[in-house]
Amino acid sequence: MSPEVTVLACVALPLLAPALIAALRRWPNPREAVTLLTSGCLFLLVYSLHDDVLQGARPACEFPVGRDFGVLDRLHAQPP
Amino acid sequence: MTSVYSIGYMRSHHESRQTSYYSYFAVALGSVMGIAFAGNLFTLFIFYELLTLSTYPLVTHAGDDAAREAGRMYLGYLLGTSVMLLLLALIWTWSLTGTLDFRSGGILEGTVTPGIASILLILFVFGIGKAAVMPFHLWLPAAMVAPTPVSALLHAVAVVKAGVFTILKVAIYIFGIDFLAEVPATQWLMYVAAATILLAAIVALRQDNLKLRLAWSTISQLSYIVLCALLVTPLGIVGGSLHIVMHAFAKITLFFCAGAILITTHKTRVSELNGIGRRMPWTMAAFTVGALSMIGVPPAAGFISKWYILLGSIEAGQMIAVGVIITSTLLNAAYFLPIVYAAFFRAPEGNTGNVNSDAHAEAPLTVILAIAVTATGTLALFFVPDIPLELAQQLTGESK
Repeated sequence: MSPEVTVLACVALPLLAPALIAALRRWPNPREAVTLLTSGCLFLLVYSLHDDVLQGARPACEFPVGRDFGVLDRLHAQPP
Repeated sequence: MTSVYSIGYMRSHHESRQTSYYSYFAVALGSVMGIAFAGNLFTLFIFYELLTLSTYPLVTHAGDDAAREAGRMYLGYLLGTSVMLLLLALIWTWSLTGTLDFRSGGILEGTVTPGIASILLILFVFGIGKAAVMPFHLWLPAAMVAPTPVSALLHAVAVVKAGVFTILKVAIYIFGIDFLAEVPATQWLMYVAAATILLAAIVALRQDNLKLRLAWSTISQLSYIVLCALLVTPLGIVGGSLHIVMHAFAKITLFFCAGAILITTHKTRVSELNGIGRRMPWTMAAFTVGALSMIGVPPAAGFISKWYILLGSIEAGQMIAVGVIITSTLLNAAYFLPIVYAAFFRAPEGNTGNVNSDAHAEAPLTVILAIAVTATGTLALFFVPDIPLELAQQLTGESK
């Protein structure tokens, strides 16, 4: 798994887990198993990035902002 | 570990709405991941706000008037500072530089005057309310009405660390350390952080409620990291980054112990803990490890980060910072060591020789397991601090 995909999984996994937790609300043991499994997977995913980061990789997640809409290009445009 | 602890705590304490608790807890973890891996300030801001919103239901979990009042204060401080100050700083930075990307050396140097940079720095430091720099700190003790695992999550790891982590990111990747040294407000804000360290430690000294004492201690310790960012030296940055990890391990251990005492003995006050070390030796042994780390005594992890913070202060020639750290260390000892002494060396109140009052009665296994792991981590990081140290040194290109 590439570092970028790992980062995406790190963010997405705990954000998706509540759906499963809510679905298992009547069964406390499976519900808490999902909680533990999510935490465990998260730990392993973050730990798997350790070597890449030490070698200088900077995996990151980003929302595109500003320049994609061309707003700042116009704002910072130099007069001809 | 908080997940493991939560299961034991929530079941032992017969908490209601556990599904909602675990759901918001997971969302909070996802938000923290988003903050940690954000590639630009806008992404970080989105997850920063998501973290506030996802932890609000955890703070108000009890559902009573006190919890709702604490929740209002929590949202008011955190959303108020971020919308009125942090968002303004973001938009201003974006309009000045055309980017919000985190870049080595920062993005502001050469584009703004030191005067404007000063205003931006003030907006960032006070706008990041999760760092609890005075006077935007009162949300943190108020949030103590939450269940103890939430307090551990809020006060040791997720929320407060998101705040100081953001301040470090802004200092290193938005301002850049070299440019930050030229900004006039840096010195002034360093004094604000130093005042927060001392004042919060003095207030902690006067708290009889154990969780409140830990909360005020957290306000004080967070400002160590803010102070480190404003020392603008490589060793200071390393010290601040290390303190995020070392403080997290120690403080989560202390909160876990406070929760274990609550569910086992229903005691919440420091003055009620005489002799509790005889009933709960494992819990109080872990508490002692956490307390030693907070003070900065070897062989606990807190010594390593405090050592680097002191070196960074000396490197910056800031003798006031050195004095504040030493004084604060003495205050840490003054509000933690009496608890340890009372737990192990004072007789339990109302002990009339009944053997049952001294009988071992620890918290459930999952609670003790989580406490054991974090306390062991607090000790292990003193002997093997390599991973956090290497990561911290990468921030500044500092070699061993």
